[in-house]
Amino acid sequence: MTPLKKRIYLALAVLLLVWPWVQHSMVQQVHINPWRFFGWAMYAMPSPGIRIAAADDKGQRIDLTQQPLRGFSDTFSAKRMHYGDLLEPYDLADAILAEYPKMQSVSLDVSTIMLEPATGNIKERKQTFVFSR
Amino acid sequence: MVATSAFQASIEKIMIGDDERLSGQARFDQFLNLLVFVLLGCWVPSHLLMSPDWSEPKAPLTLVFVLGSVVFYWGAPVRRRLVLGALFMVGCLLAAIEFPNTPNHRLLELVPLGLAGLTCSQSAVERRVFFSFIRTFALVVLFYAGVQKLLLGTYFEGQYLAYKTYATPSFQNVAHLWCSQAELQYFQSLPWPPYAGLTGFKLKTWYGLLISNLTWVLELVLPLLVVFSAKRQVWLVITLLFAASFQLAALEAEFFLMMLILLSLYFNDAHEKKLFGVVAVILAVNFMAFSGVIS
Repeated sequence: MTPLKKRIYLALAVLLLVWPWVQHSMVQQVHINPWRFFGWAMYAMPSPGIRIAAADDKGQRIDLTQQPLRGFSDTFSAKRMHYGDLLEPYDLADAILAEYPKMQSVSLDVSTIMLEPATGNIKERKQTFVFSR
Repeated sequence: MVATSAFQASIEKIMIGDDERLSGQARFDQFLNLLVFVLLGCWVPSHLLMSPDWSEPKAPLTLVFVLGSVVFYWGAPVRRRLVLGALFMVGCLLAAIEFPNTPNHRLLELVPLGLAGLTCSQSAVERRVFFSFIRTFALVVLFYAGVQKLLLGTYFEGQYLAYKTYATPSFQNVAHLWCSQAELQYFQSLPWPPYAGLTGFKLKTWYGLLISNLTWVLELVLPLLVVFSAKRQVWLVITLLFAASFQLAALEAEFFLMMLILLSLYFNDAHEKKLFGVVAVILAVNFMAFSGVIS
């Protein structure tokens, strides 16, 4: 066996042993999806659900169920479910501001719906993002 | 010093393997045939046969994998390593396209495939290292599945099983194993999708709590028993039965088949030829279930 092959095996072994701890730490710190990213936490925690609400600078609700905003909203939700806090809704905010040219700023409430292990209840974790022109 | 050398010996035992029977050329070839067969059986139905979308790269990539497999099985033996390398590259592209939704079992498939391409089939030492590594990898996966359940804390009071009983029909089908009738009715009566304020995702039956806690305990303990116990063969059968029991609710044939062929490398005798039949039956049932032929 060549030294290079030995090194490949050793590096792979270290990576496979260390990575699940890194993935778990990212689940705790930035709320990435526990099911994904090869941490072997499938069937350990339900995938989170994502809800988005948008409002203009006067507090009026913006409809995200119509195209083209729906496409941006769905794409962001699908990615946010996996990337957690690592992904912020820049593209969705840009799309909203482009759709409503007179709007000066947009506020986005991003809620993550998840199972709370301690209580066995469903809880919501909300983050608010404000984007101005 | 004694402790250090004993530890070193244990690591070498795991990494290089203690079983001469592992290093046979015939077993190596049969295992690779089985591995490619499992990947074909899992990828072709899901990416090619069931509503393939040719505008997405998954279907063409799977077709390339099929063509590569034809060369692997019927091409010149000297080109096998090269073909394995190509199949590994196709698998990596598939995983990259799926990202971030890449299923965890993709890694369970790609590690053996990639290392097989790296292994010189003429070298007994390389074959042994290859087999020892990939079968240990399967146990590491099982062990970490237990570690994650322990750290995330959703199995102590049956929270996860309760939630899945609410959310997933395949879990409801076998929920009598951990739920009372009243609990099952409660979970089925809850509205969908879940929202903040839904309560009661904990199991109350003693057998539900037992099953829930046995899950993570066995995931932690069985890998250690398979590696270190003198009665390895017994613990191995129990581990395979445990992995199979998950299929009752989870219906994850791809993950299970990979665990089956990797863990079977711990058997003293080669069973790869016999496993072809078992794998074919599981794939056929899985395909019929997903295409609606059987429910």
